[in-house]
Amino acid sequence: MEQLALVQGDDAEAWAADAVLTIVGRPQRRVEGAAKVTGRARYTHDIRLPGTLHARILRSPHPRARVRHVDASRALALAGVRGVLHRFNTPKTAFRGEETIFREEVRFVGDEVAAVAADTEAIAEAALSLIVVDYEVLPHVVDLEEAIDAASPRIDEKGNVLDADRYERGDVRKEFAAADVVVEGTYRTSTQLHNSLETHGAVAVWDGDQLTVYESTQHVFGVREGLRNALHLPLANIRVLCDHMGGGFGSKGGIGKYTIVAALFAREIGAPVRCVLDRHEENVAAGNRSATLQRVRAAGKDGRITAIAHESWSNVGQARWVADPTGPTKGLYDVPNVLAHAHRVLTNTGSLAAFRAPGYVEGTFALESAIDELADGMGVDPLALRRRHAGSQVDPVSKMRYSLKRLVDCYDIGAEEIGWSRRARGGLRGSAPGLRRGLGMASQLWSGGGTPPAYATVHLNPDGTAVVRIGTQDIGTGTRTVIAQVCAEELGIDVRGVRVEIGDTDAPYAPISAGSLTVASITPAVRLAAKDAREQLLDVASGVLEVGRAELRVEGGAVVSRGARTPIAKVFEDLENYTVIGKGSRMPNPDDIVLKTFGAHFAEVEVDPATGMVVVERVVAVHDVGRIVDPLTARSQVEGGVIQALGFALSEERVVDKPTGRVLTSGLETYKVPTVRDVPRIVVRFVDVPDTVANNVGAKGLGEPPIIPAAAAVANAVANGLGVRIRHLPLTPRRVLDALAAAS
Amino acid sequence: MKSFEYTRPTSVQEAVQLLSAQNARALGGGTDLLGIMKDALLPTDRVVDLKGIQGLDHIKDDAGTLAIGALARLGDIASSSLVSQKAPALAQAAGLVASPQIRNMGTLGGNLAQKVRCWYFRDADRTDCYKRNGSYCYAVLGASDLHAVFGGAACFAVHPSDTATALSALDASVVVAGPKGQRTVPIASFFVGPDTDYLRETVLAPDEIITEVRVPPGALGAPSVFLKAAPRRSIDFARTSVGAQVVGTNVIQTARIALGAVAPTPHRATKAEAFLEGKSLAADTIAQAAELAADGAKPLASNAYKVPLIKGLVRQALTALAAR
Repeated sequence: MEQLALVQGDDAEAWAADAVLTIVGRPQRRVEGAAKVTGRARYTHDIRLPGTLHARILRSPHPRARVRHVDASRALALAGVRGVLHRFNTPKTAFRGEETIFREEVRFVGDEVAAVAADTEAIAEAALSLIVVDYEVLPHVVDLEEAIDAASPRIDEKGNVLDADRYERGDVRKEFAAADVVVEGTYRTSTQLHNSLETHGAVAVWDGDQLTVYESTQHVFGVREGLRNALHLPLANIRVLCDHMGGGFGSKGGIGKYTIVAALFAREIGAPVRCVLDRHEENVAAGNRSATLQRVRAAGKDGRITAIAHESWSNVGQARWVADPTGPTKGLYDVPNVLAHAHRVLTNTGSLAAFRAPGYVEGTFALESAIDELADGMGVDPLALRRRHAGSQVDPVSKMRYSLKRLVDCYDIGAEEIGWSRRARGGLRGSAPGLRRGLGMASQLWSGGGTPPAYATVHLNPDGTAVVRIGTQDIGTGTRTVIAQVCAEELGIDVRGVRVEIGDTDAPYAPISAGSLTVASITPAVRLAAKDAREQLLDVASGVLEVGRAELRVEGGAVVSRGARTPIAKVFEDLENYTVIGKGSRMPNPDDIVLKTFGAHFAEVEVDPATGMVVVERVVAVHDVGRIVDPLTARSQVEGGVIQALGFALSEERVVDKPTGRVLTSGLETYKVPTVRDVPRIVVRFVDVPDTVANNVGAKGLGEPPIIPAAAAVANAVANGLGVRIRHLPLTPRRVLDALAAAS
Repeated sequence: MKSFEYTRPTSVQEAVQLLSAQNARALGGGTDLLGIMKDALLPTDRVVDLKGIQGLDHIKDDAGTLAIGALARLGDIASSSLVSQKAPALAQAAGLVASPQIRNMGTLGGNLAQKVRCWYFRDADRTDCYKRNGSYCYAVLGASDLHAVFGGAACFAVHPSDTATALSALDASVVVAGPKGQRTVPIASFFVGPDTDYLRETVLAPDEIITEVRVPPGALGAPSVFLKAAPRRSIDFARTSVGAQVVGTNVIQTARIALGAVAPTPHRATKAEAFLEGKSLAADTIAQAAELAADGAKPLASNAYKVPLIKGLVRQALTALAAR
């Protein structure tokens, strides 16, 4: 697809691999850390404007039903209730390809049926039970494999199973026939729920025809666009704000129905309206990672992988897209013959939302399990087999060269750190009688090269401090900190002298904080804005100091020339309020070059065959993501990704009651996010070679890479230790014991 | 949450009197009751906060008997050197409950008197569940991962208490106070299954409270152990637990093996216990006892894994005791 790129200004040369940088690349404490630990940081949930009303949503108790009639009279009669919205009284408001936020046919338990605004949250909640809805209950199906079965109720006129994507290179059929070894496995992954600490929510307030929305979001501009489409407002009339944010993991990419509910009530009633989800709603109606069923066949001949065929089915709820699990199969290894076929399966459960490396987490588990099974079948070490297909510098899908690929370095670092040479076929003895120990590994492929457009401004104040303004948002990843670092580095001032203003659509545009694209998209623009400011400063300094411009540089907050240091404040002293405003924009990515990130995780586990308990003792996570801007932030990204992956691998699983369609694991007791006691030692290593082709900072994204290979590495380690492969995540005691019982 | 009357009696007599009202509920640490009230699982018009009663939080040696007040906190029991020395299984069980925060609030009495964690019972909309005074069990045709493999009848929810499992192995008794005074109930008859009354899990009448738990001298000091299996290593209820104690040196005089989270009440593995008497804990004896411990199990659709889990945990518990 041809991308239209409008270039504004000139790019800076990328910082070279051997450039001496004083702030970028060095550990930097979070610039907002003190505000967070003292409770001063304001999240959307904390926004309480004077006179705020509270909205709550009535959700369908049926997995599939037609809403025939809504009687809200008793709810409206309750003291303190200020309004009720439902499908018979709500204006059409476009939402994700549908015309309205209240469907005629509700399609899962938790689907929005009506909303109440009231003086307090408790009154709104009480009013929900007074709304009488006449439902015509329809046949439903919630389970992925039952939905595929032709005998199950057909819940969409196009059928339950829809073709999503098909890809082929080479001739898979021929290679399977010619192979020495062919392995085939059916792999299953379970629905994972995001469980961001801050649930989804918005606060809306109108001032005349000006709408301001506070939203917990990964994309303030995406929310603005969603409001424009839903409410038909000019962009100038909408302002979206997100100061601090408690996580999204992909699920907060745009507006929610709660946003529209808040905005409609606020306009109708003339008061600020707050609509935030509780944990139960969050886990029923705010998105998830699809459960998958995947079949992988892999063929080997003469010590090499010759063909892979991967077919997948994903439970998307009612979503119009699928998180394709076959991405890693197509692009991770240099294998000549590949067939990939993805299907989207509709069910009466809550729909998927992007979830940290959507598709790649699920697909890497299936692919990397199959590669290990093939290596076992061929009698070769699984890491040695991967090495034969990991060195190519050409992307097998596009046939274009990578800007930088150091996957084999990741293998070397990780194998050394975990002690891979100890790995033995059939596993190792554990630390106590009866326990089994195993080693496993898996590779990671993801994008992360970033994208235009993104814009930043840097205001250099007369005292030598600076304000960076950019319409990105910090979703908890440390975005503020890396912006301050890049700005301070380029400008030549102390990082504490930089204030970062983000989370506001009145600032210059920046892309969604998703897809691991934040750092690589925004920091090059920030650097150019700081460079612009620095050059303007030097122009001024040259005149004030009467020194040639070429002899001046900025360093440590001062203009330096031949041993003389003039603090920036001194340069501006007699210029009153002269202000330097630097501007920068993200330049296009290089032509005909593929930008990717790579990595490898190694896991050591101990398994108790008597209880089915899997204890992960150590994960070594190695990533190749270009320059590391802040080693502290980078390390916590990797730790968080590994922990979230371990939940997916071992304990996290949405359970839906088939007869009633209700989610049985909507709370944090039954939906098992890892606790601190479940977290192993995590060793984080980076190749840390800047990608000077990619952008002027040399950095690529790290949000998603660390969640991608960990579950596969753990599953391979468990299979190595136990001698029995479990092809269904999570590896709960139940699945381990059931598999051992079936194997014996 | 629905509004309710809050009372804070200062004596046991006053407490049981306050509990005689309709829909009155006793509050210990509140770690279970508050969730029940927030989710409106059981009607609650009056809360009787027992924490104002002095002298119910002791952990002491009472003329050779280990006596623990109902308001003793789980964290204090877990860290008590007296309990660790005299009744290690109880200290271990208390220390494996939930999280430090919950152990610092939760009481022994509350841990024994808690309601079940069945994910159908805990879903506020399942008003026809047996335990909500309905007449249906969703686990039979639904997801039964958490449910009973022994003793289910109509309702298949399991008793979730870790301390109950340990105390069953320790032959404890429960002192109960009510309007007519005090009675002492052996732990084996303290819990009731759905065949007796599916609306409650213990013999406690609505106006009765636990005041003390007593572990008799005969069970004290003999090796005991508590093991728990759950998907997470903390903040999790057991999928299966075992409390075990053997009395007798070299040759076992008495063995008690209690299984938790596999039945509506703590389940004594009586066949395994009888098999062990007069024997020593050799490896093959342990293996046979572990097999017998799961005897009679009748899994539902998705809890067959509890059968090997019982065997595995019992084997590990007896092996640990053999090493003492």
